[in-house]
Amino acid sequence: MVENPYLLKEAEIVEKIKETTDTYTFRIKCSDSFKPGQYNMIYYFGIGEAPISIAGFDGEILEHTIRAAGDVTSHIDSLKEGDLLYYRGSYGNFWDLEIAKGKSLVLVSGGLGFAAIKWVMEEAIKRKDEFSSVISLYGSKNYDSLLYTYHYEMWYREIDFKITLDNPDPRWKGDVGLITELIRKTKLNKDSIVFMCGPDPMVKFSVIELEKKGITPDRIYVSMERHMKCSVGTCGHCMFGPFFVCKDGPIFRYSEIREFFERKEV
Amino acid sequence: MIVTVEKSQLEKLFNLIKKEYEIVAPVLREGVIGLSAVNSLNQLPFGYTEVEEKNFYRVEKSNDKYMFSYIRASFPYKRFLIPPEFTFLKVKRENGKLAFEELTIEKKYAFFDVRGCDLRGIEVLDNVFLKKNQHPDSYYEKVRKNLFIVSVTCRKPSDVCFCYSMGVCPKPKRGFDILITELDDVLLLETGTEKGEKFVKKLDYRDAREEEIEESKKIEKNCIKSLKRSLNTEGFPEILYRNIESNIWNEIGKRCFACTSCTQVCPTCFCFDIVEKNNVNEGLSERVRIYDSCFNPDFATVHRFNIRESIASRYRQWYMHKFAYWVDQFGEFGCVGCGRCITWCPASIDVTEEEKKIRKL
Ligand SMILES: Cc1cc2nc3c(=O)[nH]c(=O)nc-3n(C[C@H](O)[C@H](O)[C@H](O)COP(=O)(O)OP(=O)(O)OC[C@H]3O[C@@H](n4cnc5c(N)ncnc54)[C@H](O)[C@@H]3O)c2cc1C
Ligand code: SF4
Ligand code: SF4
Ligand code: FES
Repeated sequence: MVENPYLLKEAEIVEKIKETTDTYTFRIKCSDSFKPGQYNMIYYFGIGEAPISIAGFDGEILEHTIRAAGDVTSHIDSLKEGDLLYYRGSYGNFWDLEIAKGKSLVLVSGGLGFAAIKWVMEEAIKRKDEFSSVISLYGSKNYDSLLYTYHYEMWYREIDFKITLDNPDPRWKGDVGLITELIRKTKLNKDSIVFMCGPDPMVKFSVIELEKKGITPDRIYVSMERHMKCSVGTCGHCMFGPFFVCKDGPIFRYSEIREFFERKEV
Repeated sequence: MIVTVEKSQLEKLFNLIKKEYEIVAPVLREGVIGLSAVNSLNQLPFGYTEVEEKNFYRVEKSNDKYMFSYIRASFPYKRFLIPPEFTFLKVKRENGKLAFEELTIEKKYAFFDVRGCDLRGIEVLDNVFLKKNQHPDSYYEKVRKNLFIVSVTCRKPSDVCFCYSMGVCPKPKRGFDILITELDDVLLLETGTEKGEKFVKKLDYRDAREEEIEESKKIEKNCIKSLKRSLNTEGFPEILYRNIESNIWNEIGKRCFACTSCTQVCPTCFCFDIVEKNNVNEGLSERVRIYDSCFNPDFATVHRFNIRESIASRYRQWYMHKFAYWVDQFGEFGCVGCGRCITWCPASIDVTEEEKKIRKL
């Protein structure tokens, strides 16, 4: 007998942090096992499920950062501290820090893609000595859409953490411009290993910038987003060329997906 | 075991199986041979045959003396393995807590008359849902485990069939519990499992003679010889990958209505959606699996942006999945050559013709 892959697990929300007007981070008490880069399917009663990246886990507290983008996500965002959250997972492959050992690790994220990068960044900070350097480049549309602002001080201190805003803001003293410009401005080693997550167009143009710096696509790993219903390789929704994003991904080596990623409507 | 029985023994076999299983078999209804739960052997469309061509289907009286002169049903058995719509989880909300009730499909089916193409189709689905999936589907497994399969050798193909091109034989080699080959005067029965043997042993049988086995082989040879269509799979995945940007997809896209008919009749198309059915007042919600199709406009929508906006790209997705992606995913083709999509496409799109055009690009 095989186990029912759709059974949901229950966990208590212990803290709800407001990130932006439409995005919250939930801290959830949970004794499951997860890896950075993986995701859970989160269920809301009567509404449905949504794939959500695991934004952090310390053995006891699981973190999810969720933007109210539609039906399911806006309902989840209405949950309060003390409420129960129902999920199944974890699913997908993970960011493998071993690949970057002894090299410069470059993390690139855009918008909510930062949620998929945050945990591996925290792990990289803990294991800082294993890399020649850790650089994290994060692009956000506006000042008000910045995520995890309460951690910045620590991250600035620990690694080479850089933020750029698409739109200028009087409250913002740092870089302004697209993430591609930030990549251009940053000194990066040819043999760096890049972990990236963001909207498809951001990924495409960031790869071009990285290539200009001599970082080849086989050194770039990308976490992809596709429509997902089952997350277990049977509903077909996440199909992308010969891949099932839900089970073969969500992380892919860019050299292996480029021919599909850069084509329209695949 | 390989034995022969008189044709009249078929009814006994049917009734023996019926005692233990719910039999699903081909039936003629409103001019179309479909599949349905049946009680009696008489319900099978003996004495009829189909005439099939691109966008053409008609059932006629057959002009030979055989029982199994009809061909495969107009749709495949997959709906009995994974129903087109079924509730898989019942959720009840009480005091902010959810209780889940796992629903299982408690069916013990015998498929009576599965042709080579459909048998191979089940094998393909086994790989998708169970064997080549690290998260096997418990719903599929449940029905599959209880399934009994009676296969039948095709005496003649329809004009749309191209099974042999896809590595499927009109006389199946594996995957059945019992295989029936209708000879001129008797039935040749081959068993593939002990379960099958148990039933056959209860019949009035005798060992098959050498010439009877020869006759069955000749039937298969003749059937293969009468196939009108073919699809050359040699190097085809590579050719497709090379032509992913070809204009041919736009040409087909102009003809295709995205009606999803092909995905519905295909024995291997497996895609589904999950929807919620709610009874708000009673705090009840049902999670429902329902067939979906890569031709549907919102199939690949991410944040209200449809990744496959054009019908051309949806057709390309379907065709490339069958003949290229599937090979990378599961090590086999996603087509078994049943020809149904040729018959039922209202736009007369023929996968075998397109293969020939793609090869010429
Ligand atoms: C691997 C992965 C990780 C993700 N991580 C996060 C995260 O950490 N935080 C976050 O806020 N969002 C994340 N998303 C995006 C999030 O899953 C979608 O915003 C969400 O599914 C939208 O569903 P909805 O019902 O709220 O929106 P609606 O627009 O109301 O619904 C769209 C429909 O499409 C379905 N759907 C399935 N997958 C997607 C998808 N990827 N995008 C859009 N619709 C989808 C929904 O279930 C729903 O049926 C992630 C997506 C993926 C694939
Ligand atoms: S693609 Fe067409 S011919 Fe091939 S198995 Fe599906 S319906 Fe049959
Ligand atoms: S190929 Fe034919 S059957 Fe399939 S969706 Fe297009 S029009 Fe319908
Ligand atoms: S989400 Fe269902 S197959 Fe990937």
